[in-house]
Amino acid sequence: MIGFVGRRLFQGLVTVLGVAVFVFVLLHLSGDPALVMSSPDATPAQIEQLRTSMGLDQPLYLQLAIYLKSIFLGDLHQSLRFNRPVVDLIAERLPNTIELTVAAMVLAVVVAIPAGVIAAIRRNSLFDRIMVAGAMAGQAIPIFWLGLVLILIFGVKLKILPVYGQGGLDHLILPAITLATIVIGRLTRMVRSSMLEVLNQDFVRTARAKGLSETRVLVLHGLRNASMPIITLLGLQLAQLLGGAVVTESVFAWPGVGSLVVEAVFNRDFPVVQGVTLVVSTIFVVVNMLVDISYVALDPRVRLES
Amino acid sequence: MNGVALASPARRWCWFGSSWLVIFGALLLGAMVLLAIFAGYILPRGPNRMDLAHHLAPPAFLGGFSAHWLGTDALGRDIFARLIYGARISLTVGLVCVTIAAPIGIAVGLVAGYVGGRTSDVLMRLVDIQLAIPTILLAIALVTVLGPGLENVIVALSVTGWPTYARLIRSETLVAIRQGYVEAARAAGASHARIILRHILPNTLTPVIVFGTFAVSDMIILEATLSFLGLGVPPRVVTWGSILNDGRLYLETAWWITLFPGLAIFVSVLGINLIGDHLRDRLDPRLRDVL
Repeated sequence: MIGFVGRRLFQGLVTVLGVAVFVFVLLHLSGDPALVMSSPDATPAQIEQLRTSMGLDQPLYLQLAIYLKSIFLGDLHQSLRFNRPVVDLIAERLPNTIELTVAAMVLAVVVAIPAGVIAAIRRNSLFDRIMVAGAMAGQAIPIFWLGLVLILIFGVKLKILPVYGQGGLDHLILPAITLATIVIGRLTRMVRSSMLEVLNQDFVRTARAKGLSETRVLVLHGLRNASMPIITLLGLQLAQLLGGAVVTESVFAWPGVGSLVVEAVFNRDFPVVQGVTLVVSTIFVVVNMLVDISYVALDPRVRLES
Repeated sequence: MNGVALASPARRWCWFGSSWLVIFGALLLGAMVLLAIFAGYILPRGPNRMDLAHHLAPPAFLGGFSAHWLGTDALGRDIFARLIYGARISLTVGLVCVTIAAPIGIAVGLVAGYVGGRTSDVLMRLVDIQLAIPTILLAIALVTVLGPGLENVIVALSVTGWPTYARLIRSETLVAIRQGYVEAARAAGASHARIILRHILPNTLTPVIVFGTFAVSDMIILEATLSFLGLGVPPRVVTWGSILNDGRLYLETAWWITLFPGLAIFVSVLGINLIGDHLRDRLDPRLRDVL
């Protein structure tokens, strides 16, 4: 158990370090990073000044070493636009992104698990068919468009929900629905197929034969055993949700790291783009690491194999 | 046990009848492709011709002008014309990006699976690293570095696409190299290149065909997202995403600018996904839980 956790932690650390190097290399793909970060009408002297101030005139290996060292010290450079540490900007906005992402994840789980379970129990029924068609349609809808349509219906026409910015719980409803749509379709399909597989197993038949109530059979024996692939998918879908948050935040003017990164692109503020990419990827790696470790705690079969 | 479960009708997704759905998908996509191909014949005036006297006109069926079926935007440009000309770029970008990303991923996956050892470890770590970065964030970062423009958007989207192919092909290669036909080729003195290209590659392509189909729709949505955010193609180039970007400012007064391009994306992506579902069920049902 400890060996498995140690190995997984090491793998996670290597991946995060790799993302840091990748993000560093990305900036240098252009040939001249100072040019990428300067405004189009910058004079050669201003570009040269930026190059010197950011250490871009140093040899590449030295730049990488300084960059990695500063990351370990929690320094993600200064924002060129706001002239403030990128870490501070991200720290201000990240809780809002997490709030939106968690709300969308909870909504997706609350909708997809009952829908998938009912679809599996009533296989081939009208409900099942509607669920599948809905899941398929959900996977084909571009979420930024869905966001705009929701704004049009609930904000512009019906005027019952706020559509821009952050405030009370009502501000969270439309962005969370929009973002949750990314995962609801796939999650419903996964819950359904996992439940179908589990419900055919002998232990479910035994549980029914013992006279347990159908709810007990479904929840304690069915859903519990079907939960592994569902948890895996949830972990993997986090990257989709964090990516989707970039778009959703832009549509609803939600003050998270997603809208920060889009603003940063327009301002050619690459340290912010680098910082957000690194932080968001690290969150994804850490969550998936925790998902993997939770297997060992939850499932004795995985514990034995590892 | 698993094999039995996979083959059972209970696990089939296509209750409406598999062929029915794929025909429906092909019709949706086919209609969109035909409109894109014959856009020049249907509306020779092009997508950027302005009719300022009729700007922000509603669709013809809501009392607008018969010359503008789906209404006009703020500059009086015909929405239907922009939709069908935009389809050319949006669909082509999706297809081209997959055509570029797939061979890169296939090559990496074949090498990783065939060579194994440290090479495989290094290549797969690279795959893990890239997959840890949300696709849209990576695309945004790449477009920032490369600059705006259609070619750069294609490069950025293609770069985001290759790792999944590498992962799929590597696992298929690991299975293939243990098969008798590979051992036979090796015993007959075939070179590594010949074994990989003539024997392993053709036997590992099924998941790529299936995944590649879904990837086209992912790329269409990704390009639309970049253009919607204003980070994609330049203003003169019309794509569904850029029409949506134009429309967001007029959501209250001219919702049709926003509604129709979104529907075009939805219809095309749904069509492609239905075809992808059918291909997956026919070619490789094991992929059902993956794709």
